[in-house]
This record gives sequence, structure tokens and C-alpha cells, in this order.
Amino acid sequence: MSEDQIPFDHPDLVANPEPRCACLLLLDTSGSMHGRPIAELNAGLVTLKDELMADAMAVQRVEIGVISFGPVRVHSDFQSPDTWSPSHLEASGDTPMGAAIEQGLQMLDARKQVYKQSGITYYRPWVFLITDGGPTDRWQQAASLVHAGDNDDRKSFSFFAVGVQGANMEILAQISRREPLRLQGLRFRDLFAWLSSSLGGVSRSTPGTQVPLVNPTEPSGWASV
Amino acid sequence: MSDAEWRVAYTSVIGTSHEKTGLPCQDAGGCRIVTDTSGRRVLLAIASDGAGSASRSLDGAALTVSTFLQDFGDSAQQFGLDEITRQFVQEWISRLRNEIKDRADAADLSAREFACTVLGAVVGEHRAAFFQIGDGAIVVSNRAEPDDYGWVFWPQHGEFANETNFVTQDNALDVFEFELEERCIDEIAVFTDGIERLVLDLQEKTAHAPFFRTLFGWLVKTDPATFDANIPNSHVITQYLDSKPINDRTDDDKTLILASRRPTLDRTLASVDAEQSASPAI
Repeated sequence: MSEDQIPFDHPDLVANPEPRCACLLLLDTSGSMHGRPIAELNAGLVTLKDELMADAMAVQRVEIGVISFGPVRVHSDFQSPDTWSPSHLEASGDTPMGAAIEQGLQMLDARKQVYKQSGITYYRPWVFLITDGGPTDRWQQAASLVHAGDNDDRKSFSFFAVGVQGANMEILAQISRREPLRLQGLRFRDLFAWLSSSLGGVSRSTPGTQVPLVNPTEPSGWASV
Repeated sequence: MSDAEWRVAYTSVIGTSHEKTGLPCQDAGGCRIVTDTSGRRVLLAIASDGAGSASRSLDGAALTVSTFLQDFGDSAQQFGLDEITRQFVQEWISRLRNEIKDRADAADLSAREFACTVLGAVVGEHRAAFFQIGDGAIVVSNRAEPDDYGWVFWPQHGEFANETNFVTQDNALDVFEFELEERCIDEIAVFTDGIERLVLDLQEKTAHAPFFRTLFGWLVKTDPATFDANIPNSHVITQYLDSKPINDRTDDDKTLILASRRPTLDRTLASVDAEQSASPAI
């Protein structure tokens, strides 16, 4: 029996807003990123946009927010991949990582409030911190906020830290509960392609589904620990 | 109109994402009509959604469906709805959990590997019992307000869209919901979360009447089900749930059980005509 033999007209279905998967990028744009690192980071952001745009479900569900630090600056509040255009980041200044984390988590909370008020369901947000140095400000408050929001009991978000060559991995390990990842060389594009595909997986997950994340530290991946 | 026959249709259709990744359909559902010792009909409807990440969730869902149809059917055949209380359902869920635990132990697995939701309904003439653990929903209508479709329990989700409750979790009996309604439910739909976002308005928190009106409008015109026999209408909703308009909007497994004992408009008019012609002329 073919579809046109269904003995009733297709009923109108509800156009509920899509559930959202917020991803916050906290990007180090301090002076030490000058040159190839910042160029590769910028290219990586373009890759992220392109890859998300190629995934029909991700376009509807993923929202990207970008904050850079050196100094702290909000480049985009959370928006879907089709309206987000990656800013061209430039490297300068010091590394106020603590302030960036605090402001980012506030921005994330505000977004969750908007979701709740609008009856929009959402997935556990991701926060991605990328740095090639160490904080030049007080970071302990930021670290305790991260720990308070990402632990076995309270899962407000998932926090990932990625260190580029020269990063202070010891402090990153104190900020993030998950082991910080070390970016291999300047493989920002691989990192963001992985991020896009992981967010795509999260954004189509249903209850009880474990989202299969490709391990970025496997030999062909972009990271090592 | 209490003697109106139930018309039923039910199906579980694999989601396109399960097809792509080689997963089986992990939903199960079923429906049964029994007669109690006083000759009253009782409709049983059940749906269960096996968790995507649990290796034996399909077994959990299938076991939930088969034991429900057996145990609640046995009780309804003897006592109608008299025995089907909150306590009866709680005890049944405890037994189901034990059975799952035994199977998990035998396979050297955690009971978590059998994780599944449950949505159950037992509908008698003037009383109906409902229960639920997890997401999905049961939507009902009664003859007094025929165009009013209401949900019994709102789907259980956690803070995040991909979180829900399962029969196998430790606090299953704390999150279990039960409701007994003393009214004549004559249309009922039971469905898993695969079509939840398509037929429930999540912002208004309402059931989307046009969907239910259309499907029940078709169902009431079909032939009534014979007892415990194959359900003749199911291929229609199987085909509908596998159609492009549905698959464009959901890639998850979807189960739908529909039952109606509402008289069709034609039959109602025919009986009115017969009464009028039988009245003595003034």
C-alpha cells in the first residue's frame, strides 16, 4: 500500500520550537596567540559554522555563543548557526581567563532562563575553553563555579578545557573537572569539526541515549592528554 | 451506548535514526479487549519505549508489554476494574522490576541494560485507570465533551530534553504516576516520545486536537475489533507513522495505540431516525 492510500488527510502537527543545545566558546585571544595560532583559530571557527550548517538538525538546535579574552569581549550571544557569523579575532592583551569564565557562565544562565520562559526544552550545554597560556587574573572563583555546575550530582553544563602549546595545563586541570586536552599542533580545524559533529550528536539524542563521542585523543584525533 | 464496540489500531514503527545506525526498533506496544464475569468489556492499552543506550531495552519493553497484557487482563476478566488500584499497579511494577532483575542477573548484566518507560491504561465502562513512568503520554476524550482531548500525565522529562525516567531506575516507584477516573472514556491514544513533540503543544501544555480528531475520525468508521484477534486497522497507522510528514519531524521509534468506542455520527443519526419513526404520530 503506498502512502497516498492512507485513508485520511495528513493531520496538522504541532510546530513546537526545537530543543536547543547551547555551546559556549571561551577563546583566548591574548598577545601570545598572535600570528599563526590566531589565524588557525579563526579558520577553525569558520569550519565550525560550515560543518554545523551542513547538519540539518544541528542548524535547528545548536546555538553558539562566543566570548574572547584578552580583554573579555562578547562576540556573539547564543545564536543558531545560520545567523552566527564568526568574528575575525585578533590577538592582543593579557589573559583574563577567570573573568571570561564568570561572564560566560552568567550568559549561559541567562540563556537557560529564556528557554524556560519560552517553553523551549534544551540539552545539557557545553562550555569549551581554549587557551595557550594561563590566567592573568583571579581564576579561583571561576574554578569553583565550574566545579559547582559540572559534577556528578549537578550537571548544569559540561565544561571542557583545551590547552594549545604553551598553556598552563596545571591550572586548567584545577579549573576543569575533566582532564584538560592538549591540542596537537594548531589543529583548530579538526577540533571544531569534531565539536560540530559532537554537538550534532547531542542535538539529536533522545532520552536514555548515550551520545557517542569520538575520542579526540585517539591517534587520528586532534588532542592528547 | 455502553455496548458500543471498541475499534482499535496499534503499531510500533522504527525510527529513521535507528535504521541508519542499525539499531532495532526498541519500542513495544499492545492492546487487548477482555470481558469480565458480568459481560462488561475492558480495554487494555500499553506502550513501552526502550532506552537507546541500553543493550537489552527492547527485551525490557517487550516484557513490560506482555506481562501487562497478561496480568491486567487476568484481573480485568475476573473483577473488571475493581482490583486495579494504585497498590495493584505498584505491586505489578515491583514484580516487573524483579523479573527484569532476574533476567539481567542471568545474563550477567545490570538491570539498567533493560531500561524502558511504561504507559498503561485500563478502560472499563465508567471507570478508567492510568499509570506512567517516563515520557510519552496518554490522551483521552469522553463523550460528554467529544471534541476535548486532554492528556492524563505530562511526559516526564528532567531539566534536559534527553532525560527521562525508566522502570529500571532505583526510584521508579517514587516517580510512578497513577490516576483513576470515574467517567466514561470513549477515546484513548497512548504513545511514546517519538511523536510527543508532534502531537503535544509543549508551550501551551495541551494535546493537539487536530491530530487526534483526524485519527479518531478515521478509526470510528472502521470495523470493530474481534476479541484478542489481529487488529485489522494497524497497517494504516503503521504506514502513516512511517510517512514522510512524520519522518521529516522525528527520527525516533514511535508507538501509537488508538482505541475508540464512540458511535459514528451516521450510526447515531440512524438510531435517532429509527426512534422518531417509531414514535406514535400526534
